[in-house]
Amino acid sequence: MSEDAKKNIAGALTARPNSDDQKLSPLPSPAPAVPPKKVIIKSADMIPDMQKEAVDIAVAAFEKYNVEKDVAEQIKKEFDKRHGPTWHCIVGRNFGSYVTHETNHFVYFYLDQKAVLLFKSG
Amino acid sequence: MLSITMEEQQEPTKLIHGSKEKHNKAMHMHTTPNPNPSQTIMRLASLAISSNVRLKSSDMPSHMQEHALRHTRSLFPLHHPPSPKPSNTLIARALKKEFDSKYGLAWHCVIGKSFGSFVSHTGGGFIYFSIDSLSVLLFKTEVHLVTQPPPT
Repeated sequence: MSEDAKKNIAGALTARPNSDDQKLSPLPSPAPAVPPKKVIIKSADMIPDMQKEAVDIAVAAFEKYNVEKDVAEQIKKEFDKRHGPTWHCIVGRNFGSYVTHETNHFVYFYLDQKAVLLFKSG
Repeated sequence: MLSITMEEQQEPTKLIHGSKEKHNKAMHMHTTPNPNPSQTIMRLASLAISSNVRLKSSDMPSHMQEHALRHTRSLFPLHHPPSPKPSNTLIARALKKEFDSKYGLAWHCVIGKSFGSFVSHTGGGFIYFSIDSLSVLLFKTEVHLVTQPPPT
């Protein structure tokens, strides 16, 4: 009946940095370059192009917003627009999840210390 | 579909709710008329107090709310500190599967201390509550029959 695959994701982080904001030390160069965010794809059932798109949209969202729910909203709405409804997005430092998603429409990755879960269902 | 945003930060205790955005409300609301609403509220309130849970937001029939709270509490009972607490993922899995089997596919569950979310859910299929220091998000989406095989 349902061909949705089930994904088990463990996103719990035991170590939490004291400060939520990553404060960069001032660089001596006249035009300090922002270091690129570290990206780790933890789990994916998604074509590579779409994965990269998710990461790029997430990077832009983190630059634009500080609140996690706003980041999640931006990512979800962008994917609803580009790849059709209905997407769901979870962003945070400490969470575990268990979801049912549409085949080939699931990605779970880290951007520095923040985890992003994005999947299509419904 | 309803879209609800929420934010749970560990440091600030205040819960931030985004505005609700309605797209297409589900045709069938699963809420049955409640003959004793005050009694239901009393039962949920006493359950919350005794179980150390706090209902934050919900769009769900009361009996299902109670089911979610009770079942989650049973997964890591109070007054048993020596036993190790199961991981968030296992709790999420157990709760999701319980609701999948009782109320049909497809449910999704997120549990943790610090996360933000933006999801859509079917009418009558959403609950967000806290238990001990964890927040729990449980919601339902429609399942569509796949008419064509997915691209390989």
